[in-house]
Amino acid sequence: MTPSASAPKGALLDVEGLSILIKDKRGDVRAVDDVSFSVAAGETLAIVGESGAGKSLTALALMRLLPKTLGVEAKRITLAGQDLTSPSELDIRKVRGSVMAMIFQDPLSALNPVLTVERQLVEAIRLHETISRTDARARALELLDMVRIPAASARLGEYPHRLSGGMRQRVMIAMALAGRPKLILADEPTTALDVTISGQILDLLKELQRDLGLGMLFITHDLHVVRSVAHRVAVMYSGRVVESGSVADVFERPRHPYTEGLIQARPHGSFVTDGHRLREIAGTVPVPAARPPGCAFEPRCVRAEADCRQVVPPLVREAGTPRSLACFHPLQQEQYA
Amino acid sequence: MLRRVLLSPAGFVGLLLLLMIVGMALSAGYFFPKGPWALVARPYMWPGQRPGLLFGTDSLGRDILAAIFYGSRVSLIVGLVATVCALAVGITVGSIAGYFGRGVDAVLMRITDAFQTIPGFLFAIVLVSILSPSVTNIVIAIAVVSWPPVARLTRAEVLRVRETEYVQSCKIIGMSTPRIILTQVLPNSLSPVIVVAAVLVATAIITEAGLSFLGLGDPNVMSWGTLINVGRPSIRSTWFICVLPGLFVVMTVLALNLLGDAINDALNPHFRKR
Amino acid sequence: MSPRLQIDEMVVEHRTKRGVVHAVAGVSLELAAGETLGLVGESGCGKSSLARAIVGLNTPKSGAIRIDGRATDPRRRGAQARDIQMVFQDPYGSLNPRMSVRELVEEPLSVHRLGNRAERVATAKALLERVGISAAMHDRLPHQLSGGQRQRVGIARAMALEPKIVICDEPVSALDVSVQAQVLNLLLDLQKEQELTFLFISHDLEVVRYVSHRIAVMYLGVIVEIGPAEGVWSLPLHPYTRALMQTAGDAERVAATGPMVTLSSELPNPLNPPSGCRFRTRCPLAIEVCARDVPALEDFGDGHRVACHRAGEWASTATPAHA
Repeated sequence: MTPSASAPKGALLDVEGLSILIKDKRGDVRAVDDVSFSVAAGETLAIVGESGAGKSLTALALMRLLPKTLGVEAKRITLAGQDLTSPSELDIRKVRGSVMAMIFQDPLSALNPVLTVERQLVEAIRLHETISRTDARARALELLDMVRIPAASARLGEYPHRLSGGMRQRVMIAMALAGRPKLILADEPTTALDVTISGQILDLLKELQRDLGLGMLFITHDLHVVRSVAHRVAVMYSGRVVESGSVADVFERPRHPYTEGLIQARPHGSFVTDGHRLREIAGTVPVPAARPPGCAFEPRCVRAEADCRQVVPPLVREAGTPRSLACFHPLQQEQYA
Repeated sequence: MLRRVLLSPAGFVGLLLLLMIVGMALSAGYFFPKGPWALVARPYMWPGQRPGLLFGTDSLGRDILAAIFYGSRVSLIVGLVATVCALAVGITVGSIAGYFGRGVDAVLMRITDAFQTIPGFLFAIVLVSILSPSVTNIVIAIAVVSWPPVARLTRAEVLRVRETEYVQSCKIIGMSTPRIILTQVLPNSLSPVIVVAAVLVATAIITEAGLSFLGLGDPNVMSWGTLINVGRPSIRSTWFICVLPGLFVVMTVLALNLLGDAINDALNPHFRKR
Repeated sequence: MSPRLQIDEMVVEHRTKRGVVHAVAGVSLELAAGETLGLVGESGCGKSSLARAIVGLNTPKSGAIRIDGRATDPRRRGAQARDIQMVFQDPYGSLNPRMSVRELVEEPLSVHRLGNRAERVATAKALLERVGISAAMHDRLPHQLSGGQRQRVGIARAMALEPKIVICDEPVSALDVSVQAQVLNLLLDLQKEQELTFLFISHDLEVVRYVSHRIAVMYLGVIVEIGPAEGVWSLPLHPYTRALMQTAGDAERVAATGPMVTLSSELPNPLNPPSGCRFRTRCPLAIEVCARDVPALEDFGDGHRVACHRAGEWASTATPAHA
């Protein structure tokens, strides 16, 4: 499978100009501001960013699971050829689960604690297909096998709290697959898990995606995870996409100062033997209400100049490359040669 | 905090009503210098029957309005003192049980259970009957029946706060256990107790009125309950002797409950939006 | 010279409803002055129980803690408080929400009655300045600060008593990546200035490698591998260490130095740990002897010690892979 760097034509999910507004008497605040991206079938797009970047809100907005206090605006959202720009409740219920499904960070709070795994899986299956309970049970077993739960038939009778964190996340994935979706939205699915378990879950997601030809929108703060699962990456900062492109390209040759800072801020090597200090990014991520008028990263950016303070740099596709960038003074390619 | 209480409609109305009752208690001597026991006119006069006797007179010809003014003093004092006593006992027991856990917790909570198994009002009646009806004994009786819920609530909160990392960090810097309980655990445990305190004052006022109504009030002080007791024999004809003080009991209890709700909302802003 | 911190055969038990868990099942460690020992392992491996026992939050069932050769009494935490301090993981939960930033840093000084009030205020202010909290923020409450600022306050509080040893329990795991670097740099600067000894607990291998002189890997209450950071990093010998590195994105280096170790199952029930080697139920390389004998820590040179019956097979042939 070759990583496709550009957004392919006829994308599974196409989002253009998505904004999420926090409604406030003193004026709406844009928690997510004019974000565009697309995901093709069989492709994983990672949205990476720190807390307050708006990455989880973006996923919830696509599922229309945001609380009423937040407003969603979009120029265009299409999912598998269907227009979801301003969907009715019915439209959304039709696609939720059957065209796109979501995996949450904390499966314990996403699963019903008083129902057995079987009840929940059968319910999820019969929501999308008219089949008998016996057939649904067989399908439930098949799903548990698919997510590599050992002794699946014994697990069917368990309650979620009786399962380990890794098992719960597998059940969660099985639930997501129950409606045979084309797109999976995964919101930090391994963040709450231990390293060895999270590795297993990531491998499982990669396999499932390849075998079922799923599109995946993977939300994470962890650059390692991006490297291991994604084909393309969109880096978000304070509600906006600042850089996107193929994972290899962006990570090898970051051009936005924030992307570069993020990569540099991770330890690589040893302080004890090399004595090299980590490069800090001064300050913290601004809350959406206190976002500066120009580029949101400008107050923390060493490359900022006067124009960065006045105008929000637009996300522009670089000519002849699959890379998009929102920066007036990006790092030059040769600086990394 | 105070601002948030005042900004909510419940808090504003509650505080206004409560201030009115407090005003009555403070100004009783000014408006009715002769005291609540003075015989001012003939008995059983209806409200407004004679100018100057707005609420009429009781079975002995005493001014009901004066009795209500003076009665507010007794009700408030009994309510406050009983609540303070209940809080003192309840918070001490609850915080010791919660912080030290294990055996101490088990013993203290069984004692608390024992107190809670007897219905509060019946228990208060028994206590006052045994101790003789005086204001002090009524306060003691009410405090004895009201501390267990305070202890339970405090214990639950202390159990939560005890496990927080900031309490552990105080152990690590070498802070003594009493100091940890007093400066770290209690300040972070008492918000819900404050809310309960407002309701406890209201309950104490009702209990006092109930005891007086049954004739177990202090015969030497005029409380709202005393007045209700006086009016009881003639409730079918001159019902106002019971109803008027009863309205003030209801109003005070309502004010305290509204205030409790408002404080609760102010302390837990997250829940307010639900 | 005796080591700054010496932990001898520490055993920590937790009583649960279903039985007794040996969270720490006989751990011995030695830390020199100014040294950082990185402690790695999954949740439930006992690293936090060990840390809590060292600072006196747990009473160990047996074992000794010595500071500069002096034995400490685990029941008297006041006495050792000045020598051992801790930086917590959660910058939200580890500061009393009702106290100002300055009061929080002043508190340890007042507990130990160091100086008069004015001196304590001055010391607290100086400490806060040192960790990068400007004077304008000294009267703020914790919830008015960002996560990184809170963690700085937590560090200032830990430094107030001028400890010799600081237990850092996942000090950057809860922080954003761009803020992690700030806090790590601060900790390393403070270590250099005051010759601090760090026990640095983390599940993040790259962070541990970056800060540590030596690395110890813990599994189900025991140390399975310990050695110089670069040695463990470039030639991980215990299958569990190899599995950790493989999943953390260093599969190529693991492949170059011996067998790959892919873990399929999850942590066994700690109430009933496996016989022999505790890791054998998850270890694809386990053989008969692993179920029978408990492997002892064996030295493979340069203080690199590993508790595995089979480590010798690949230790001799493999060459360290430097990343």
